[in-house]
This record gives sequence, C-alpha cells and structure tokens, in this order.
Amino acid sequence: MNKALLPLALAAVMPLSALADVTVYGKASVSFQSTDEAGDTTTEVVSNSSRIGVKGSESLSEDLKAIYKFEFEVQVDDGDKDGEIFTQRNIYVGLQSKTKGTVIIGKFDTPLKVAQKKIDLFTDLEGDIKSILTKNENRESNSLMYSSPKAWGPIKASVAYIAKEEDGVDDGTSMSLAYSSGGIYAAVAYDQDVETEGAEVLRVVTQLNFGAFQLGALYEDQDAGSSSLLDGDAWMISAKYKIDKIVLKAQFGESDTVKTGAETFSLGADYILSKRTKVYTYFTHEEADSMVDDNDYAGVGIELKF
Amino acid sequence: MKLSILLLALGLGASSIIWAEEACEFAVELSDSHDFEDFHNCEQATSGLNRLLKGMVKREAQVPLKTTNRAPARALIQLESELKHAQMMEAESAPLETPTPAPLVQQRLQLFAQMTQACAKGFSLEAEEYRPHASGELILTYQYRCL
Repeated sequence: MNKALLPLALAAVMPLSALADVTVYGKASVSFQSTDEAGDTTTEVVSNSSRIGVKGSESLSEDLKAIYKFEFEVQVDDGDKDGEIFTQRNIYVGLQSKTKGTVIIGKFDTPLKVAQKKIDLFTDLEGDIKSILTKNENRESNSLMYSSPKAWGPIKASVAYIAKEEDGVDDGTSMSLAYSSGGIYAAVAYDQDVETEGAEVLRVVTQLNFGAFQLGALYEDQDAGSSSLLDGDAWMISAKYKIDKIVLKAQFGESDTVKTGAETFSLGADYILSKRTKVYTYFTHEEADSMVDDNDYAGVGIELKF
Repeated sequence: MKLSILLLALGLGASSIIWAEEACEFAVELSDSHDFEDFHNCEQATSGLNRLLKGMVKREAQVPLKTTNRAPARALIQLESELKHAQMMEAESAPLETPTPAPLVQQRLQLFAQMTQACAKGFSLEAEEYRPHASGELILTYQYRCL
C-alpha cells in the first residue's frame, strides 16, 4: 500500500471515540493555464496546492490540550506527484496551553515563511514569491517549534529549531516576531542555517488594511555566508482591492537572491461565488538576467474550500 | 547584526493593545498560519462531512455503558460458578479402617459438609466410589458437580 495512505487508513479503522475531535478540511484549486516558459508554449491544467488535512485535539486539563495536524497535497490535475497520491505538507503533534503557548514537533513551515502572512496575493500560483523572488519559503522536516499564546495580545513570537540530522552540519534556527492590530500587521523574521548551512536571512513584512484596500510589502536580505546561495536582497509590494464580489490583485517584485536581476509582476482577479467557492484569473510575467526568454503565465481557475 | 535587529524589535514590541477576537476562518486558511489556537479551537464541524463525523461520535458517546464498577467482580463470580458446574470435582474421605456404619456415616457427613462449602448453590452427586488404599483400607470418594 502506498505509505502516504497509511494515516488515512489508520483513521478509517480507528474507533470513533478516538476521533472525538477530528476535523477534515482542505481545498481544491485547479486552473487552466497557458504557459510560455523559456520559449516553449504549452496549455496545462494545474493543481495549485490542492490539499486535504485532518486536525484534532484532546483536552488534558483546563489549560492544556494535545493537538495534531496531518495535511497532504493532492494533485487534482494529474492524480499523483512522482507516483505519490498524497505528498506531505504540514504535519505535527504538540501541546497547547492558553497561557504558555504552543509547542509542536514534526514537519511544518518555518516562522520566517509564515511571517509573510498573506502579503503574497499569488501564493500557490505561478506568481508565488518562491518562484523567482526568494528561496526561503521553507517547510522543514525534523522541526521543533515554540509559538507564543494569544494571551500575549497583538504580539506573536515563534522560534523553531530544525535538526539537520547530519554529522558536521549545523542545525537550523528560524524565528519571527509579529505585531497585528487594527488592520496593521508588521513582522520581522530571521533564519540561520535553514535553507542551507551558513546562510542567514532577514525578512521584514508589513501589511495595511483600510476598508476595501489591502497593501503589503516585503523585504528580504540574504547573506549567503559560506553557502553556495547568492548574496543579495529581494523586495515585493502587493495591493488588493475588493469591490462587492470581485477582488482585484496586483503584485510586483525584484530579487537577486534566486536569479540575478530577477523581476516579476502579476495581475489577477477573483470572483467570489460563495463563502467557499471562487473563480479566479491571473497573469504572471517573470524575467532575469540569466533568462534568455521571459516567462509568461495566464490562467483561469476555480477554488473550493471545505 | 541581523539578530540584534530582531532583538530590538522584540523589545519595541513590549507594548500591547487589546486583542480583538476574530471570527473563525476556514481551517484551510488558518492552516497556513501559526495561529494554533484559532486553528484548533474554531468550530468548523457545522456542515458537510465534519457534521456527519461529529454526529457519529456524539451518538457513540451517548450510548449508555453496559458495565459498572461492580461488573468485573460479578463477572468473575459468574465465571467461577460456570467453571465449577462444568468441572467434575472429587471429595475424598480418610481411609476407612473398618467400613462399619458409624465411621462410614461420619465420613459421609464430613464429605457432604466439604461439598456444601465448595458449592454455595448446592451440588449434584455424580458417583460414589470405594477404592482400596495402599494400606489396604478403603477410601470413599464422591464425584460431584456444583449447581
């Protein structure tokens, strides 16, 4: 049996009482896309990080509960990814206290990655900032993380330790501090030895919400150190405007950390059909000094959350 | 240097403002954040598959338990009783030097008392046997089952 099916198979045979607080969730997001990449033009059906997950908890005392999450990516377009029907996303088990915070262990997004919040309006699409702007949108295995409780008010702090499980290789550290209140979000985050040993990354993010407008900005400085990464910085800005059931989106960024002289912009629009379902369209352009031909992507898709 | 900027930001972040409770988003939206409390505390089981799942769990939880704390002890007693009923038991007398009526009646009464003690609900005699002992004397044996 496919190993990735094992957790679901286990869940299926578990007594109901053991699933007392389980919730199934996920989304299907698929688009029909025209791709012009390195001079080759194709038409594709693309699954944009469609996923299914189960989460749950068990109350241990008034203040303490055990929590878990098993989340897998599903290829709605092809059915599998390199032969795997389900590929691992964020998976953890941990303890959560209302007053002391949360500790989890497993595989999950780093605090630096999560610090970008929803600044990236084209996340999971071709215009995702990980495409050409940054190499630091990491989901790390063998991670242990502490995250501060909601009781801290508008301040949120997270620190993760990433065991590289390799002799002579430094373990990684990722941390973030965020402030969120009254439509204002600001965060600063730092990675050391996460993407690769020797690299240091500083990320600063801000998001402003006023009425139907949302503005976002991200700056990242990457010090390659002894690693083979590129020294440099990256930045991007994004804007979103909601008119009734239509959401207009625009994003622009430059970077020297993935490819020298990289530039990208994306334009898009969502049409909200219901609380769960929307259709969307997008156009993304990418170029860099090392690219002979620019990349262009245009698509229309549908997303359903459950 | 970068670490010192982070520590400075930590210091500046000491001031706090009242935290406003936000309505629950979809779990899949919260899943991409590190807002673990919102993610794990928000009730998202009001419709669809989760409503069905929660309903099944609730129904199972409402089924009254068929056993109590006393049940194991009662079950053991019942089991012991059934085993005794199924099992052929023996009560054996002391050697009867002379099988005259008086000692024989006395031995019988002793064996009946022994069997009564072993079977609280009574017993049924299956056989009465007299076997020679090594000394040449007779031994009275009752084979019985508990009721």
